[in-house]
Amino acid sequence: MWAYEQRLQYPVKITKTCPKTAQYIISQYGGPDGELAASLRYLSQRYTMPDKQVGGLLTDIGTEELAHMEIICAMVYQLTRNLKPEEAKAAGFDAYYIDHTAGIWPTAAAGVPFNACEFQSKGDAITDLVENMAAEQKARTTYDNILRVVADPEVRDPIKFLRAREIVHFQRFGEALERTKAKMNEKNYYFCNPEFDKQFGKQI
Amino acid sequence: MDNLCLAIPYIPVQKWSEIYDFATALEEGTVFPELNKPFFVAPERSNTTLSKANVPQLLFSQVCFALDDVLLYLDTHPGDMKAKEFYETCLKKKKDLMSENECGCACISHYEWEQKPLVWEGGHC
Repeated sequence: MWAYEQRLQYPVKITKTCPKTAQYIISQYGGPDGELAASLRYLSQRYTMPDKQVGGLLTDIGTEELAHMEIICAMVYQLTRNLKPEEAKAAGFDAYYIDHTAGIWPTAAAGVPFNACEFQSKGDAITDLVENMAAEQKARTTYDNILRVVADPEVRDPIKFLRAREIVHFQRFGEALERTKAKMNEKNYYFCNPEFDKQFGKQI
Repeated sequence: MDNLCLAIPYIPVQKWSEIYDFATALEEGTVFPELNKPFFVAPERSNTTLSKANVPQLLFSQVCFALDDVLLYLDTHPGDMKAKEFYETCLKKKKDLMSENECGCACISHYEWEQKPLVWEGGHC
């Protein structure tokens, strides 16, 4: 069960229309390392995690990622809410405008639509936690790349906030990996799949 | 490093230490100074957006954010008493703000959507 709180985790107040910036930012909604993929990745993986605390962490980070998706969508919305067709054309946002007008739709910056192949739920705790650590790093790099090309402080503030969260989440997934390893056989972490080969019981 | 196994990653587990005040934590994106690693093209402290925010809304967001961050710490450190104490302090502050502060209250019980700007319109609480 989820309950909605009518607020953004970090406020978004963008006053200047800029379809070019919207095109960059939208990648963190529907792109390969975006917040939608992050949320679905963690909320899908949690069911079969052998460590309950790790399943809980995936729930809480997956929930926070939904809030980040909301921040990203609010940014795209505010960057395009007064969009004129000529501006869309001049900024290279015209292909998006033709298909979606100024509606919000999950796609990557390069125009590839969102799809579930952008993340994995592999059913192996080590594999999934290492994927999650990589995912946080990929999202951080995307935010670094956005910060290099966007000058408007009203856009940079929430982007810097979201970037900082990737580093915190990376640390937490690392700690989750340490918790998972602590219950496994350190002589061979790859002897079995701790989520699937349940015959090995608690000592895996 | 001699006791570590090959072919598996290791991450040092964080220990509870100094934390930022509520306002700095939301500005920096974490309550933990040791996890604050800014990017070289973004050295400036963020304050353009937060300095324009309405004060009661901002206070509520700051407390809620500290709660979000310490929750994740507790997920990987469930026995940490200092973290738990901080979590309880934040939770109490959130509840107090929800009863005293109109913004905190409106954030949870929302059905009069027409009364103020929606969150994506810049009405952030």
